[in-house]
Amino acid sequence: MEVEQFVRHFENAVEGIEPESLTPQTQYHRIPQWDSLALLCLLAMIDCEYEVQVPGMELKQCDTLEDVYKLVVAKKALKAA
Amino acid sequence: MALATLRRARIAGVASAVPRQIVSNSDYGLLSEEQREKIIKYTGIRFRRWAPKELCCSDLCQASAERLLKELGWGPEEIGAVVFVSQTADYPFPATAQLIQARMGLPKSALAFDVNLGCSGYTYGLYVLGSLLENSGLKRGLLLAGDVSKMHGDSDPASAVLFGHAGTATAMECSADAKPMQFEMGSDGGGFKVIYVPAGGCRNPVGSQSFEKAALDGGGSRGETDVVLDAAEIMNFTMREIPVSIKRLLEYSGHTVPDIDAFVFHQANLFINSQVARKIGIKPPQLPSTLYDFGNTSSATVPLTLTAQMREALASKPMKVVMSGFGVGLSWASVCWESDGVVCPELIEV
Repeated sequence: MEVEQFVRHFENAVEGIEPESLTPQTQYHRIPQWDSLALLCLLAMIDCEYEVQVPGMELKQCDTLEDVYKLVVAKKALKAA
Repeated sequence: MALATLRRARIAGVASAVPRQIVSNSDYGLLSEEQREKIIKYTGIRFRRWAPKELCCSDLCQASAERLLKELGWGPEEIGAVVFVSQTADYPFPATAQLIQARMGLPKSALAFDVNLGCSGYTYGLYVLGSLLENSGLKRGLLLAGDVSKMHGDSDPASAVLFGHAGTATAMECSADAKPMQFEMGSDGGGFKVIYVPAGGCRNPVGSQSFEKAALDGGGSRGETDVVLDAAEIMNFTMREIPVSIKRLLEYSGHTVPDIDAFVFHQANLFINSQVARKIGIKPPQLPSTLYDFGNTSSATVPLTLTAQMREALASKPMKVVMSGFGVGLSWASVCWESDGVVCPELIEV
């Protein structure tokens, strides 16, 4: 599933996360590795892998990694329109 | 986005000055050692130069300009224009450029004015001064760029470990032998709150409440006279605008990435610069950096990098260089030029 791939990208992007340790339901902002630098890494990963930018304020509305993935998908659709 | 070419203006020399005092981010007390090392790794900033209270940006720029004129063999009377690019003027008014004109003994006939820009200020300033020289009949001018900002309080970890102080001078002249300098510039003022100081201007004058510190979500505190810095939105702005700007500039100037000897980016954050480089296809040897030793010195970062990282190369051979400033405003300016006998004195400590 593509959302699973998104989670793998997240694990690779943020320092100190074990591979395949997270799920789409993970509340990313509650993991111990989450901080302002992890946020930059997430934004860079989204830009690199999905070629869209996600505003920080919209990211704050997301609770789980699946929520972030859906936001990215919506941004991609908006860009393509 | 604006594309423009200067055809008769050339960069004759660049000099940079920093305060002697070195501060280390390893000593920043509001973060744990682990947090500090992680921030140093991502930002690339370990040391910064810090000015004593009595030292202004104009002093560092003046020291740079006087050394540069001496090494160029130019007399002060030959300077027809001086442009001071900074967000830390000596006084609210008059413009600091006038003060420097008098202190350096530049002629009363010289044009002198300030430009209030930060991260994009150096490359913007090259266009402003170069255009002025090309269209005025004036032969030689000085671009002074830098900041000595104390508006980032130690109490906000998001900004306290980023900024350092520097002042630079760039000599430009009109010459029949000048090679074209191509520019790409743009503005997005809708995003101004991404980096700004809320109080101190006419919109929100300083009052007693301005100095009260409010607690921040991520730890630390900040008052209205301290800089607000939203790193995530700076990242988004940079990734959205700068790779496009540079690719457009390269296309406009008829170059490809491998043609360019050095891409000198505004030095704000190593991680962000590496992401921009990745998007453009720039190789690490093409990407000089002075973040480790000097941090973010605002409009001085690009000329300071020329001085600290490239002075010997610039003196020894012609180089094709792309320089790009981006940030506060939001604003950006990129320039593609070919160096030709650039005089570049050693770094000055004041």
